[in-house]
Amino acid sequence: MCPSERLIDVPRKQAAPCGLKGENHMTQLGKRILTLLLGLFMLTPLLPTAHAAQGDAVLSATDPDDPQRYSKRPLNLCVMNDTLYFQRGDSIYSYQPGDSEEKLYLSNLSVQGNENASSSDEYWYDFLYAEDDHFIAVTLERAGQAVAFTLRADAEGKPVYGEKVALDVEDLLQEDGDYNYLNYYFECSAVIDHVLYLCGGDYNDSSAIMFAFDLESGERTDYEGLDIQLVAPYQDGKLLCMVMNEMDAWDPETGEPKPLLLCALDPETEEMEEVASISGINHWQMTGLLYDESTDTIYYALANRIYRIQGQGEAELCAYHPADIYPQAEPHAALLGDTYVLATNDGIYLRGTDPAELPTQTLSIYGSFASKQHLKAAAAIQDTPVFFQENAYYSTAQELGQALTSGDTQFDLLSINMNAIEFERLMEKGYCMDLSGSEKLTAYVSKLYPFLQDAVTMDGGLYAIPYNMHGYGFGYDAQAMEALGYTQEQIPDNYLDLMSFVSAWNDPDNAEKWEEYALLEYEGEYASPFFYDILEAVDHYYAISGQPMKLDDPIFRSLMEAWQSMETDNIELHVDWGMEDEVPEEIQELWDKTMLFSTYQNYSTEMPYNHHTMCPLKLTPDTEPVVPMYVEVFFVNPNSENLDACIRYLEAYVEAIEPLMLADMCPDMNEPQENSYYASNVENMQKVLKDLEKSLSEADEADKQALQDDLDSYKEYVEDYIATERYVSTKETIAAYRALMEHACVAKPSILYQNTGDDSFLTLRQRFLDKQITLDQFIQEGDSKLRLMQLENQ
Amino acid sequence: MEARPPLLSIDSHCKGGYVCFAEKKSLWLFLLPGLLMLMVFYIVPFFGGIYFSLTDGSIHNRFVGMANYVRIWQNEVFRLGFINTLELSLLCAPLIFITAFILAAMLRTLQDQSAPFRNVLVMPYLMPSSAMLLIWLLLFDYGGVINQICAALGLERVLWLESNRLRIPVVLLYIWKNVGFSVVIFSAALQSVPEAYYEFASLEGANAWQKELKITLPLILPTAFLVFVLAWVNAFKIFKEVYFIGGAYPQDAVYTLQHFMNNKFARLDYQDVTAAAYSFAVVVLILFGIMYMQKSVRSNDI
Repeated sequence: MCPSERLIDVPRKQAAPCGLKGENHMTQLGKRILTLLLGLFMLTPLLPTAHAAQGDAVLSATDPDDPQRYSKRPLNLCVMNDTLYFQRGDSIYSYQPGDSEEKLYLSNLSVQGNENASSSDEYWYDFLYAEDDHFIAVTLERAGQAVAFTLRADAEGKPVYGEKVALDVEDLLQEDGDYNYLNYYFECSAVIDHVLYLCGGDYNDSSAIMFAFDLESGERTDYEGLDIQLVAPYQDGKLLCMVMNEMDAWDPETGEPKPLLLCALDPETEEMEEVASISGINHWQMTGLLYDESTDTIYYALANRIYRIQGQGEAELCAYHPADIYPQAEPHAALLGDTYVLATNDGIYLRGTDPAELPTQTLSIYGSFASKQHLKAAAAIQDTPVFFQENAYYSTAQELGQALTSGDTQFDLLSINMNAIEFERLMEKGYCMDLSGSEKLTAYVSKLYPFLQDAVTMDGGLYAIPYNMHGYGFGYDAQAMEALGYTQEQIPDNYLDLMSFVSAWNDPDNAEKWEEYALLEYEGEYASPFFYDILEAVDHYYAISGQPMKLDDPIFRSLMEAWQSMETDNIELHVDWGMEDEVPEEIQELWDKTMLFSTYQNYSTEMPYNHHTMCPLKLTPDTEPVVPMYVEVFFVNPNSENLDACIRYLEAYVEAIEPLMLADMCPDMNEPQENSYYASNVENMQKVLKDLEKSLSEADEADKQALQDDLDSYKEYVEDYIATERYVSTKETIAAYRALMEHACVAKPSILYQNTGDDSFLTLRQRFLDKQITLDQFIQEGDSKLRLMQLENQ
Repeated sequence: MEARPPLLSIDSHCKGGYVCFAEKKSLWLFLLPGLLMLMVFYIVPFFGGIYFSLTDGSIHNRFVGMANYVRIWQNEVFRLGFINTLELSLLCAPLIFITAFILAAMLRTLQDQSAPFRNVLVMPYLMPSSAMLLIWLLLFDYGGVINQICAALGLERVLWLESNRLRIPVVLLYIWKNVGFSVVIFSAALQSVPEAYYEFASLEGANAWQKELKITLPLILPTAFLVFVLAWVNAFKIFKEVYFIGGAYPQDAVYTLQHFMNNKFARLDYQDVTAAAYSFAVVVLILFGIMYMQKSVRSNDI
């Protein structure tokens, strides 16, 4: 027996002659390894698409769920000696290419010249720049002054501050009692030759302005009328500026934004020279303008894309960010070699700028925006940049269906409101991909209310993912009703009773009550909104009953009879809104009153802001209530080339949905939700209390009483907050909501009260309200339309 | 005098003196753009549409045979639209034909002074329907001119735009808009009728009616046929007028086939749209075939 036979179990029919077997096997193994290596070699061109481009990194990523996220965000980027520096909290961190993460560089920063700073703005600099071997920090509007000072680290990593230079902002300040404030905002800045350039505008005036401050003397030079929106250091002491007059930003003939001009500005002579022109974008979309003199390259960011213009060339896409970035002020952008760095609220993104390393796939989303959930979902598909298509809008299923089939605009993932677009048609016609193959998505949908599941499933397939739902309807102020002496039985729970209640309230005997209480939020006549609400309620009533809708029905006729006899002449407001911006006095008075009822009461597990009780109105005392819910869903274009990314994105998205929204959609999520800001708010309040107590103990006798009153009042407020604001939803609010949901349905488009591509019913409705036609004529004409529609769809 | 040979002949056996169409290849070059456009925008979509009418209309286009045709013919509203369209066209086409003929005959009597009147008659044809609808709404609205006249005469106001009475303004609008075009065609044809025939008929004691019936109509029969066909074809397309007034779901009396197709299109039921269109096309082709045969028989009689 060959020794090798003991080691390797070779099937007999494939066995080689003894003695050659081991050698032959080794040859075959070698061939296989070679084939594998060759295969891997062949795959190497695909590798850039599967991994991040060189230089890509994320630093100081903030947790989207952290309520303190905003104060922990990194900003103030600057580059010194090939090292990136940025501020986060009271520290400056450094990062060098190749590092795995940032390092602490300086800590315990403080704002110089900030004698009256509050605890929250002790260390934030408005701008931070690198110059030679030190930083220049700038603070504005602190204690009514603006200062610049140098900042260095000593051997122990502690900050060493240079002399303060007061910037000449005296005539830019406005007085408000004892407080001076700067009435300007600055969106962009640059430092060239020890001169600080600040770009922004006056809060009272939309025109852009630029100031230059000499950092030696603090002297100021104003540049007005140049319409500079963004600036960056350029060649030969010049500034690279993005120029656009906001009042003249649109071409009236084409309706398109005018091209944005990038110009080189000589600050001495104020002469401008055009460097590049960029068409098809709005000036407010551009951010992060930078210039790299060593390669003569301009960079800028547009949504989640980074472009570069080399020399006199055209703008070319060179990198993506993981999700949309809204324009933010510099110095939140910087260049670290050829790596573009941008600081956002979510962290610092470093992106290589070689177009050859761009990912080959992108995920295009229609109908949504960069929310917290999107950011988390985008993080799950980092190899695929995510776009939000903001320029496309489709108002009907037909328009959307045509867009999907024509391929003019390729969407991968679409979000629609089921109340606006007839999703059912899209689902039936195959415009939505079946997602039932994803276990996570199927599991998620199985937890939702059955009426939601029904709306997105068909023949065992899952065609959309509900991710947002809200409802509203009738509510009443139980305390106010009790105070007015109404019993629970007297509170209307249907339209007939409500209209009787309105007529009774209209009685002049109630005039005293009108002083303090208002019946409804209507700011004008009652008839039209009541009529619209009744039509909508009737539509939903028929929708949930499954019967074809008709107006010639005893229920609708009884409602119309009550509507026509409803008296409102004493309680209706007749307000002339005029052309003034100010709210008329009568309306202000209405808002200040206690509102007995509301027709826009939020239906949610969340605690109501107005303490109103949710009470969906029935049509008549004998009918069941119907609660229409307004649902937004995601669905996947079946022709998408990124199906895998779509599903991974959705799977991550549903995991990131807010617990409160999940509780609204999932009947089994009945645990009360805590207020995520509660702990930090209480902590801050305790700090303020301590400060107040300290102030009280150190105060003069004359001031003590006033401070004591403040302290008592604040203590009362804190106790009330601790007692009532810990939870955003309670067992009671959840139980009340669950009871409502027994009557819930998905609100779908309807010609009765929406323009779904045909407004003839709305015209008919208006003719009736204008008394051009009688109720019988309205019913007859309306039913004729409804009948045709129903028969057509048989 | 020897008859001049025609410049072109499609006869494949080209004989001396004839320019053979088939051999004159440059002619094909001139025709090519038009033929290509015709092919791309009419012929291919026409046959492509037939296939589409046999699918389920989903994004996957699954073949379902004649199911769409069966379903739409079973649909009450499709039949209503179909019959309404036929009725409106059969009402409008003769009205246009007769009105245009009478107006053209009257214009002929004006001789050289007829041009301004003819232009006025053609103006509505050139106007966009939406603009004309505005005028029509002002006329027929509940508070419009017609109702004001009714009120002045002590009559009750009428809801012209809301009920089955909507047919009246729609038909009037259609005639007003399209009659001018037919008048122009008729006028051209009437000028070609020799005056001598009428003089001879007058000597024979024929009255005006007899002259028109016995001389004019037979002599302009091909043109009259064209006018009737065009008027009928246009009448099939009565939709915009009704849609602007009554919306996607007007009264039963004015619900046309185009409403059905338009509404189905909005609901992504493209297969129903195509099935309805081809169903109607078949019926129209049959009707035109019958008309054409009748016209051929009459021509031979003359």
